[in-house]
Amino acid sequence: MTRSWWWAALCAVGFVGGRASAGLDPHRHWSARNGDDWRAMGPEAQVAYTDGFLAGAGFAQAAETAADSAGLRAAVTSLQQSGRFRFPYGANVYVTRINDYYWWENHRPLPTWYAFWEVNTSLIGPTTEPAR
Amino acid sequence: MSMSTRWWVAPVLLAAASQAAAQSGDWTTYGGNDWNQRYSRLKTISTANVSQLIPRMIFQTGITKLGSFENTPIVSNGVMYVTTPYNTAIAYDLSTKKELWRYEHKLGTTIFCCGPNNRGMAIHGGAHVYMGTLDAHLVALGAKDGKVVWDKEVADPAFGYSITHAPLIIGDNVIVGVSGGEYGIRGSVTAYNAVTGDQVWRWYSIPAPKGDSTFDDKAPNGWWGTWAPKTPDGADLHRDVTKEKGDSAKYADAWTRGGGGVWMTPAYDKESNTIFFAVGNPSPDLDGSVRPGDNLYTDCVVAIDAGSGKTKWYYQTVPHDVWDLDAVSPPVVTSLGGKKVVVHAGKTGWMYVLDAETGKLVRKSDSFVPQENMFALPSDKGTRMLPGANGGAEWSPISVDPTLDYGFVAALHQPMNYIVHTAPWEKRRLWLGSAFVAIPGEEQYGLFSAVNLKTGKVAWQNKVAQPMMGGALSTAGGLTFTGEGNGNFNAYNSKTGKLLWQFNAGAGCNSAPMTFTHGGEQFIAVACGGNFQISYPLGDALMVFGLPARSAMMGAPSKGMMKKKTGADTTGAAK
Repeated sequence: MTRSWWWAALCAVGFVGGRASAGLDPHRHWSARNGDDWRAMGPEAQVAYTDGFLAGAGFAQAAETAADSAGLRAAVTSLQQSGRFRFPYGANVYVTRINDYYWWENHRPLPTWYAFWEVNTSLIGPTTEPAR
Repeated sequence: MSMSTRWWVAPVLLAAASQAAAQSGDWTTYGGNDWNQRYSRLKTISTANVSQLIPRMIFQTGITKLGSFENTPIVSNGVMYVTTPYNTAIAYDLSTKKELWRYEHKLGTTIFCCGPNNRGMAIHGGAHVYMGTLDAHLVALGAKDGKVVWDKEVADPAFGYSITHAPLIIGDNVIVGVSGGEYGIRGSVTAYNAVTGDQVWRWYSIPAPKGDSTFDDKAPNGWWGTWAPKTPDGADLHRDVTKEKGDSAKYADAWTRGGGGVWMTPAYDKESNTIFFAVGNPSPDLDGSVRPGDNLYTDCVVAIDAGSGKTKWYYQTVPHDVWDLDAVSPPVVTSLGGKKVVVHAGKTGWMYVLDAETGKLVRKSDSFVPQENMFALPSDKGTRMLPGANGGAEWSPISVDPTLDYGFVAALHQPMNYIVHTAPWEKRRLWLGSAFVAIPGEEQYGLFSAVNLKTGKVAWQNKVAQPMMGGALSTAGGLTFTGEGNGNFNAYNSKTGKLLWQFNAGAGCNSAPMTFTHGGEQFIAVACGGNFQISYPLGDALMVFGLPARSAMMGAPSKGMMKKKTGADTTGAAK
């Protein structure tokens, strides 16, 4: 259960991020996308990719406590108003920080999902660390 | 009181309060006066008796979460108003030394660079006080009871916005900027009606391209600017402008996340109705390749009209900054040889003197810190650079003594290596110069300097043990005060730089000091609660120093007696 929200979030990334990442190999699995893929995206694609990731992560978090679609909607609203999303910041924050993250060449082989986790941790403090 | 009659009360109160403050020894704005000079005409404490200073009051705020205690208190009508990290606002009665009220702001989403802090409040008409918060709110409180009058979200904190500086009161408006240049914000300065909280105008620190509703005609090419290959004063920036222009279409909307926080209290000139402030770094901080162009108005000193919020002029100290040498220390207005100028101490290590009317450079001082490889590009092994990413002068406000035409600046000496994009795999700080690595074994220290604004020469300079963050205060008593990260709080002879008095408060005195009178006595106050960013000991004490009570009542002792007992320096003592 602890990791289930990760899976849902990453599925969302694969869907939305894939659509936003024009020019990227659509046959590569989302879990393999890394800093080179990130830097190949234009700025608008990076924002879209990030929004997709945030949407997936937020949706999965809300789904943990919702029994139906009405509950899901209420849960999303509640999380947004209280600022309790696990990834609580806007896309611009993550895009900027991940650009900084992948500015370092040795970070570029690392998958984007890991970059999101690491950047988020540096912003808010430790959460459950996913296995690499 | 109904809204229909309330509107006229504010200007009447403000006029009365301002006049009274000028005469009474109150300190009612972050910078001491509208010009941000941090200079006081109070002179009871002077070079003749400063060696006798003792702690007369200690206010321990009692907050449970410590952070960088960067507050400069304000004093009005016998009450001291203090803010703490994480946004607790407290009022103390100076006669009884007791706490009158406390407001603890309930923070929502927060994101902030460089440690939680708040630098102070503003007061309007003696009736309301104002505090900016880490979750980017501007809160108006009743000055007498600390009750919330209104609370406005200035910007959405989820998108990287926060407020750490003391707001500025101009007429019936409260002026506030935003922080968040590390997070892809679009910086701004906003004026709110002090009574109602309604927004009056907003100025954006990142100018938009033509066609956008926020287009700024003083930046006809938007934030791209003029593609300057050099600084305005001629230093080579080693830019590849051809490549930048080639990339500009790919990064056409980078300005929407361009950074440019305004996070220190502006200066205001009433005669010209102009606000002057410094604008911080572009975003992303490190990687200039994704933000082609000059990145206006980042790293600028800017002048805007206080009534309309329109740009009057700008001076960009470092176009297309990739060294984090942004403009942060608040500008100061002063008169030099009959001419009104704006003075800014840069992270670059130079003090800029600008024509207040046009923004043209009058002079750039000699460097007040060692400089090496300015604006060099990074290399594999690292290019040694000075100043490092913290400056120079960081946010620490300078003080200007208009009788000497000296600017007093607290600065850092931190040699750093600027390295290219490779690094061993380790978790590291990702913001504020993580491409800059401190050089192991290399000495770091602080420099407190007096710069002659008429000549640009460094008049005197004192080396202290640690890089300095905090600020300066100068007085008509011939004294300049500043604090250190090791807890030292120092008084110097403003003319000669001789250290005349020192007290160690334990925690770092990393805030800008102030002075005020109460009960006929002069006091010097400084927050000594350390600094999170550069790891100085944290605490929660607001220290207030004065002469021993008996000396204050009897007046300053004779010169002969002073020399015999304490060896006090009477050179240049105020008459």
